[in-house]
Amino acid sequence: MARRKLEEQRVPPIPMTPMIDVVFQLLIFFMLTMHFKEVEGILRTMLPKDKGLQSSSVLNPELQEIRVIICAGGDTRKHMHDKGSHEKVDKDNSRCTLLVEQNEIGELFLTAKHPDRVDQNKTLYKNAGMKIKELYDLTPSTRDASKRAPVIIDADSETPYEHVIGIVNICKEHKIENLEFAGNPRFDLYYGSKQRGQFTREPR
Amino acid sequence: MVRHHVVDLEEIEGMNMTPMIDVVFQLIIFFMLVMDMSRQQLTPLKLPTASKAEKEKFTDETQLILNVRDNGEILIGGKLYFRPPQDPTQYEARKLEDLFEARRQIRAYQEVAGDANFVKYPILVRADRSAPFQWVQMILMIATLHGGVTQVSLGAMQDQVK
Repeated sequence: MARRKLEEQRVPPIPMTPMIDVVFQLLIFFMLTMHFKEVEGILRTMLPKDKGLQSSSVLNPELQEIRVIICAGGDTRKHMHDKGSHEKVDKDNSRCTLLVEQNEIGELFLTAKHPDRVDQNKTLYKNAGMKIKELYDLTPSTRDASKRAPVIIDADSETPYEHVIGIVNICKEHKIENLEFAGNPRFDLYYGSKQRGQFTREPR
Repeated sequence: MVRHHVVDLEEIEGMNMTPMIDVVFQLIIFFMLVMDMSRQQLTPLKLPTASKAEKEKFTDETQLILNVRDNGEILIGGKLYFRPPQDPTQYEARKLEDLFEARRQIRAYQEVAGDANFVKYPILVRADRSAPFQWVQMILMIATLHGGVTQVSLGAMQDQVK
């Protein structure tokens, strides 16, 4: 009897506590790392080489374009290319009007405020994409007749970034590569005037 | 009295340090891995979705990543480079201009020195889905004007449903 007791003492039960600790730690680790696993991607675009610097020095300007307009705050900007004086106060960007040239496509919603409108926005991007493609195929470039005129995304200052990405994405889907972003007159005040920053030297 | 003391000592000897060491090691490993994974360049943002977004692994060290928050703040490498002003027509982006000027000079040097990565000059703009587009426009303008950048990538989440 005494001998049996001794044997029992020699082989103690395996302690489960450390294993449980480790397992819990691993669990927490994987739960937290799942968060980083979101797939992030990029959309490649080009910036103009000859624009934005000195527009007067462009020898052979492009005369044709397909302008995609996104207006914020209930503005529909019926007068195209008439940016004129720009407002000092930001407009409400929860609703934006999408136009392809003169054709009004519809109203886009800020998904942060209207999460139920995501699909509606997507349909509008798609409709706009079809219209853009139609015009794109019809409009040759004035610089090079074998090429197409550029698609210019002209978005108001307050336009949520998601709408711009939506249009860029739909153009990618239609394999439209010559995509450009219109400048913002708010910054022309700064860069167009003589009171520019410390870099008065002309960039290359 | 003496007997009581002996029992106390036995209890102290029986204290098991193994679980604590386990936990501590796990924590160390955890923090080491997390530090490595949370790329310092990428500010947590709600990016817009795009079905045509290409996969990006963020392995290029020379790539300049600009993060635009929904309130218009611009962060590079976790540091604030630009804060939007109250009056949107009055703004000051000297820090960004300086950065792009510096990068253009580095590139001009590297074109001679022959580091192909710098000549490619990759920049990536990651903006929150509800960020006003004007701040992205401002980045693109400064990049063109001061940095001589011609190629830019726009960050977006990959969209599963087409």
